[in-house]
Amino acid sequence: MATESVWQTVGPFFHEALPWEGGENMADASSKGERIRLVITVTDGNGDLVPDGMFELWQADSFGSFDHPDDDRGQERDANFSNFGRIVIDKDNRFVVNTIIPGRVPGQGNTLQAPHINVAFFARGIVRRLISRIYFDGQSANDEDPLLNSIEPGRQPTLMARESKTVPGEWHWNLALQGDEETVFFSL
Amino acid sequence: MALITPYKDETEGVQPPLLYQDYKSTLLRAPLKPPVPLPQTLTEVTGPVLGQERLRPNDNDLTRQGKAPPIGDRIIVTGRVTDENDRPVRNTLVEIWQANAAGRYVHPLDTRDVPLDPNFTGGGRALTDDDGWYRFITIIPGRYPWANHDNAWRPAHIHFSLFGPSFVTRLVTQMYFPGDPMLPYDPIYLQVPEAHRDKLMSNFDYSLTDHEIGLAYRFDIVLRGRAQTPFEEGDHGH
Repeated sequence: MATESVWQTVGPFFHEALPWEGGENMADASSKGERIRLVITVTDGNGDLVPDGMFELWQADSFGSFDHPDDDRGQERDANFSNFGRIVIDKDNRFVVNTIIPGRVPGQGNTLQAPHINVAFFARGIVRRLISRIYFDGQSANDEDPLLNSIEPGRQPTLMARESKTVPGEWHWNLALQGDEETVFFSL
Repeated sequence: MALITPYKDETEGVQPPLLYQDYKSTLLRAPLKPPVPLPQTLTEVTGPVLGQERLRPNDNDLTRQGKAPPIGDRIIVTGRVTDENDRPVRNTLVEIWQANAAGRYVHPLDTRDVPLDPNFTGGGRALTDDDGWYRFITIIPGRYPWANHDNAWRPAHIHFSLFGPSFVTRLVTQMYFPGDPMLPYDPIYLQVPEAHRDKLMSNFDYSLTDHEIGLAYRFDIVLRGRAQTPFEEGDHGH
């Protein structure tokens, strides 16, 4: 049996190949569910905003469904939603995504996971994509999410997006690469 | 109840470390806390299904994207994408990007004093066929200096990005050319455990060489493969 190929950084110069127009629009006016504008920032070990990189997001639609052969439950799916998003940085060093609060997806055991987005971050100096998850502050389902609850309580807030107090429907999440508030990263 | 067929665990000792002293950009960017194992749920065993709709004309021929052919030594870059179970990975998107023949990228931050080529973007896309093969026509990328350390030069390389069938199987890597004199000095190459550096190396392949196009370099890629037994969500002992 072969072993997997090895990772290398995307480097700084991937822009002619990876981004595509509209990659940040996972949802539009025709999508079902609670539409949100998600604003992501990244900070490095000095606490400075990282000025480059790319995010890939993967999440269920509002029914908790994925457009994928392995999701063969036959339940309803939103044809006007893209489970996948690819987002490059804007001039203010933010990654801005138009999406929805995802529906719930089965988890380990007889559980339902809380609404979550799988995220992967790529940049120069990042040797392999960094995998994390975004959950949504205030969702009652967070209390019963098996993965979230397996993480030490002090670090759980690093996975929480929070709604802006001034702009309704705008949610913020910071990915901290290092430091006291270092985001929880996952191995897969 | 969803039937989950998980992927095998990552093989230990194969992948490069996130923090690598000789690759300076990792120092402030590599997470320092150990990662938390992520159980494979429906979110992880699914992933984007990207097909023909992502391809534009001549995406797999980087020498036909401009008004005229780009400057450089035209080559074929081809290979087979399989999984850890030696099965072909079919219809999966392969994206590549590279410097031009002079060693410069089309990017505002690449201001090196060598020419841009108006007929070369350096970006390409292809889908694998039913047996896992992909094929690009391009030119040999130039080497270029970078700011990592004194007199640092990247060996000639082509970046590769692949999806495979799920969120688990994603891979971004780089392909190098045999005998490149800068390989022994390149921290991005050297950070990969020595026993696995051959996975980054293309090989000249005479049988795939075409006298009307150019020499062929073969670069095979292996993505994560499924574990053998599916299970219901409900008895996952990960």
